[in-house]
Amino acid sequence: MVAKMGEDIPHLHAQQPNNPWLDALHRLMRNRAAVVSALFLLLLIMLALLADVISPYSPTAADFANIRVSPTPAHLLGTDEVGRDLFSRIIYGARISLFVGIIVQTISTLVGIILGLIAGYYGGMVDTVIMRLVDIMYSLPNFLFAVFMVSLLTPDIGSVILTLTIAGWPFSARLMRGQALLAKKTEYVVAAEAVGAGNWRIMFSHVLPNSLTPIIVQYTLGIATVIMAEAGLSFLGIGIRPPNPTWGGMINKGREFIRTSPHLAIYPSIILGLTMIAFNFLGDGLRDALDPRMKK
Amino acid sequence: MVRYFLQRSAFIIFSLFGVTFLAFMASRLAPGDPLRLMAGDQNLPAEVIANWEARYGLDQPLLVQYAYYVGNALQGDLGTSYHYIGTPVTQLLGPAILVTLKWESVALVFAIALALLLGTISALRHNTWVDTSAMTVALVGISLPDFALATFLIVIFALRLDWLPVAGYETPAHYVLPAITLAARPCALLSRLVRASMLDVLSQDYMTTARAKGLPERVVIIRHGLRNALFPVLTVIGILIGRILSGSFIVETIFNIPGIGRLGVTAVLQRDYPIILGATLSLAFAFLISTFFVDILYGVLDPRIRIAD
Repeated sequence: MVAKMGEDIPHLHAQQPNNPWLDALHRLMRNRAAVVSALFLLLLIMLALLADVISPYSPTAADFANIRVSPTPAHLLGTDEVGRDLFSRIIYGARISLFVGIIVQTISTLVGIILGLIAGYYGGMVDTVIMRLVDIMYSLPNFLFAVFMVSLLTPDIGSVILTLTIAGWPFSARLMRGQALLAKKTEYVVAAEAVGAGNWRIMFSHVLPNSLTPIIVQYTLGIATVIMAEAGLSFLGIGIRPPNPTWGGMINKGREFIRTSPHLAIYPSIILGLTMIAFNFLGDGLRDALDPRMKK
Repeated sequence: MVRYFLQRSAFIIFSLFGVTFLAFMASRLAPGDPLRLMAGDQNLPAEVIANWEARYGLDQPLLVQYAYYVGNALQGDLGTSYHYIGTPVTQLLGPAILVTLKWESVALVFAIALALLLGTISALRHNTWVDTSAMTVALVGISLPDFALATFLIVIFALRLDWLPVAGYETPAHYVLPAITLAARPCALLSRLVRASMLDVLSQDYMTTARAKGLPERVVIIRHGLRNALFPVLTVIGILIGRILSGSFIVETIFNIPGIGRLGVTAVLQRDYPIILGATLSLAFAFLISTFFVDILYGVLDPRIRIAD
C-alpha cells in the first residue's frame, strides 16, 4: 500500500511508540462534556479543601436574627432554619461528600482488586468462596444493604464509610476477576510464567497493569454512586448526623420548609445533582478515551 | 432447560440462605440489646429479663436462634415488633408491601415503556440531534439522585403550578410524582442499553433480509429488531427491579407513602430490629425472585442458553 502525503505511516513511528495514556488524554481533552465536568470537580475539590478560608461563615453557627433569609449579598445562598449560612454549609458539605466518596471508593476498589485478582488468577476453591460471597452481596440491592448495615451501627461518618465500603467491593472484585481470567490466557502471562515469575509478581506487575482501563472508569463512576448513597443515608436521617453539614441532611431539613423557603432544599439539590452529573460525564468520557473500541 | 432451571433455583435458595444468615447474625451482633430496646426507659428486674430471654429464645446460641428464625419464617412468622409491642411483623409488613407493589409497578411499567421508546428512537436516529439530546437527558437522569429530583418536581408541579398533590397516596394523582421520581433513573439506564443493543441489531444481516423481503418498516423494527435487542435488556430489568425496590426507602419517605420503604426507615430510626430484618428480607426475597424469573424468561426466549447448559 502506498501512503499518501500527510497520512500516517506506521513503521516510521516504530522507534518511538506513542504513549497510550497520552493518547487517551488527548482523546479526553476533545470531549467537551468531560473537560467541563473535570474542571467543575476540580473547582469543587478546591472549595472543599479551602473551605476554612473561603466560606464566609461557620457552617454550624446559628444566627437566630437571620432565619431562612433569601439569598442576599451578605448570604449568597440565604440562610437555613436556624440562620446558618447556606453557602458555607454547602462548601463544608462538599468536603464530607468528596471525602466519603473518595475514601470509600479507594478502599473498596483496592479490596476488590486484591480479592478479584486472587479469585481469577488462582481459581478453584478460593475463587468459589470469594465469588459466592460476591453473589450474596449482589443479591441484596446495594442501598438496601447500606440502610440495613447503618441501622445496626452508631450513626457517624465511620459507620457510613465502613458500610459503603463493604457494599462496594464486590463490584470491583467481579470486574477484576473477569480481567484476570482474560489475562491468564494471554501470551505475556504465559511468558512470565515460563521465565519463572512468581504468582504475586505476575498478578501485580502483569495482570493488574493490563486491566487498569475498566478499573479507572469504574472507580470514577463509583465515586458518584458512593456520594449518592451517603447523601441518601443522610437524607433519611440515618447516616451522618446533624449539625454536620451534609448535602443529603440539608435537603431533608429543607423539605420541611419547601412551601415557604424552597431555596433550603433546592440549592443543595442542585449542587449534588451537578456533582453526580460531572462524575458520570467524566466517567463516560474516560471510558471513550481509554477504550475507543467501546464507543458506540 | 431443566438443568438450567435447577441451577438457577439452587442459586436462589443458596442466596436466600446466605442473605438471611448474614442479616440475622448482623442484627443480633448489633449494639443494643433487644430486650432493653423493648423495655424502653423502664428499669426491668433481672428475673423479668431472664423470663423474656427464655420466651424469645434469646438465651440460646446464635445458630439455634437462627434456625428458629428460619423455621418460623417458613411458617410465615417473622417475630413481633419491639416498638409496637406484641404486633406481629408480618401484620405490619403485609399491608405496606401491598401499597409499595401498587405504586411501584406503575413506576416500573412507565420506566420500561419509555425506555424502549427512547432507546429505539435514539438508535434509529443514530448520531442526530434527537439521539444526542435523548442520551444527554438519559445521562442527567442517571446522575440525579431521587431526592434531588423529587425536590425539583414538588417545587415545580405541586407548589408553583399546583397541578399535583405534594404528598400522600389516596388518589391516582398522588402516584404521578413518586412514580416519575422512581422511574427516572431506571428509565435512563435502560434507554441507554436499549439504544446500544438496538444499534447492534440494526447492523445484522437478518434486518437487511427482512427489509429485502419487503416487510413494512414498522414490522422490521418491532418484530425483527426490538425482539432481538431485548435479550440483553431483559437481564438488566432484573437488576432494575432491585433498584426500584430499594428506591422505595427514599421516595416513600419523601412522598409520605405508607409502603415498606417508609416502614423500614421508621423502624431503623426506632431501632426496631425485627421489622428491619423482616423488611430487608422481604425486599431481598422480592429481588431474588424477580432475577430468578428474568433468568428463566431469558432461558425460554434464547435457545442458546438452554443448549449451552
